[in-house]
Amino acid sequence: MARITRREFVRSSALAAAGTMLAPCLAGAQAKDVPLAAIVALTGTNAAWGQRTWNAFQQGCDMVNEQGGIKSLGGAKLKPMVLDTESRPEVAGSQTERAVQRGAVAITGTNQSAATIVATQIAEREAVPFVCATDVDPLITSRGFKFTFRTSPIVESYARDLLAYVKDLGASTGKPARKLAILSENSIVGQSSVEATRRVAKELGYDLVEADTYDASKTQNFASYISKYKGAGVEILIGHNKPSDAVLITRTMKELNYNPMAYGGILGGHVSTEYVNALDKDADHVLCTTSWSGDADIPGLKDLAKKYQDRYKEHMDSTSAGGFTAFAVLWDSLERAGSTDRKRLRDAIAATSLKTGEKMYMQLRGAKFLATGENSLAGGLVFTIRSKEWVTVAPKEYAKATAAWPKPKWGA
Amino acid sequence: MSARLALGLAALAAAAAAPLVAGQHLLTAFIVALHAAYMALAWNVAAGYAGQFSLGHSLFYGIGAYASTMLYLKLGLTPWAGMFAGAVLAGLVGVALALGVYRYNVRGIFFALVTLGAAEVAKGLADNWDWIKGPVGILLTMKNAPGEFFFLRREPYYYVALAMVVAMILISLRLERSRLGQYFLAVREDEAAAEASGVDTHRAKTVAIGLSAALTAFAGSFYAQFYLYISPDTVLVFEPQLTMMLGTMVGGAGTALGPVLGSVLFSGLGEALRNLPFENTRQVVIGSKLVYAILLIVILIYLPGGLITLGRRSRRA
Repeated sequence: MARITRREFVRSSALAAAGTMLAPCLAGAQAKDVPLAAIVALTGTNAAWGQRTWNAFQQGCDMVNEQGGIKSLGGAKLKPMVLDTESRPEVAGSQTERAVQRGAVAITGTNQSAATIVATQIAEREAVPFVCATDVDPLITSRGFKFTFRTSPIVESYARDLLAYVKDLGASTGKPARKLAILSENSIVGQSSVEATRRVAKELGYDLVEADTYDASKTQNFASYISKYKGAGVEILIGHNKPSDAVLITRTMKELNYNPMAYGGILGGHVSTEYVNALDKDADHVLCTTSWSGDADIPGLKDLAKKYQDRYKEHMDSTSAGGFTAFAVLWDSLERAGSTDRKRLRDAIAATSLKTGEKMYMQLRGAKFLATGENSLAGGLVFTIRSKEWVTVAPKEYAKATAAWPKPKWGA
Repeated sequence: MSARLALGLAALAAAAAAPLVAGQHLLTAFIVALHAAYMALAWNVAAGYAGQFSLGHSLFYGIGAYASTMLYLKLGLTPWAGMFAGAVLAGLVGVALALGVYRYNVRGIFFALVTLGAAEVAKGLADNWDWIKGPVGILLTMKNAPGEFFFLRREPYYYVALAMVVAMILISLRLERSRLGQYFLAVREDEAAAEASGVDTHRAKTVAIGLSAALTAFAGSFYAQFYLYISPDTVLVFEPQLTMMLGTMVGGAGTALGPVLGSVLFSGLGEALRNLPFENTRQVVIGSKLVYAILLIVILIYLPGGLITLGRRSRRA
């Protein structure tokens, strides 16, 4: 075995020591990673939505990293992390604390209003910006929090979009509909949709004859509701329902040959892939609302949607569009803040001015936040379903077609 | 001082010192574990000691949460007092339910089903009761007001939860040594024999349910003050009931320390599995849940008396 001399030992030790001392300095010269957290449901009842939000958020981070990272931070790379809420508000709270502990400079989530309510409390207490893109309950921004921002419209805005469009259709064709009913699940958003519809119906001159909520976990038979609406001559039926409930309600309407002049959904199941796949032609002419559409003329949408499809082998939908939107706000704000300090980042988010299509911002019609954290530009779209596709019918600037009025009868 | 007492005091001292070393997130995990332990101990009074296997304790949990919250919002009553009012109300509901159920001699699995039904009815009522905001739920303001049981930091919540668990252990130990506790055990072991020995079994069972219900309500009030948001979907669902049962059955039903052991183990395990040192993808999350479920099955098969029996086994060996 070759023996090492004392001189060689001293020389190599000195080199090793110098290397050890220099390494942190050299590393310090490189930009530090920027941890961003997505707190979403990967398991439990909201898992499908959570996974899509995370897919988009992750893809957004990777695309920015491929383009050289955050330029104002010397090319710092984004480091996305996902934490599972298990579709439970308590876990969402504890996962928010974990994200903070792991150094997340900003958070998005949770696709579940009750979980977002708890998670944003923690974010506020720890002074970490929280941007939610798909939660529509008004309670979230009602608490005067400084670190909570929402890009999407609230549930009332969607109800107004839908009912205003139906009113326009009636007026333009000379066949107005007045008798309205709402049938929603008894979740926090479902109940909010009922309250919102009461207000909007009064505002637009509808006669709200029935407003029902049902327990989504236990209701499998909607025949009693549909028979009641048929008997009462309800001309417009709307609701906020889970995909499986929306499918069951539509099938029951067909079975009982109930033909309202308009039938539609406020967010929820009617804009899900599951709904159109399960019903095929029976889903045609159903109206629905979200804040994003695959057929809208949004700059960069086609390219982004293709990349999303290539990577995840599924269509980009409104939930994944929400994931890109939340990411866009954070990316834009990080560039403007030039800092990972959470308070400076919060101020940058508050000063956001983004157009749809800019920096992967997919929701309509851009973002500019009010002091409450609500997006003053937020707006929704109304669609009609045709051959398993959602076709935009309102507002006019995005419309690609006009919905059939009244809705064709079953078998027509 | 006996070795057991010394060990207990040392554990208490260690628990009291935990906030000095734990960060906010770890402290939350401890609070969640203590809250689960308290719930398990409260359910243990009826199910563990008296053998009344209720599946409807979420009802009493929900009453506690809503009572202290509504009394605070509508009458300005501090939740410190409101939680006692909630306990009284839950206790009365528990007694009323027990009187009705035992009047018709409903036992065993049928008793469990009736209590489960009662909790379901309560959720249905809460969902449709506008005064308590139905399914939308109630928000409490995040603020620092110690007199009203609101804190911005985790430490005070931790000490409240710790005090609740210590008090509940002392209540359980006292119960074990009391005449009432002996009645409970007699009912659990053989109701007919207990009755033949002169035990008023209907009364003992009713007291067990009422007492357990009242104690459970405190956990509901704590939930409301800690999470600052309650709705039928968070406090009147089966989830709290499951937490109570898991902790008790895994740790050891009918003992004062078993439910604590079981709850702490399972809360800790759940927390550890959420904290795996690699990317938290959906596959990892589902895998960790599988591990959790398998461990539960293994414990229930090989230690049917709960983890607490491990100590007894080793002493016998």
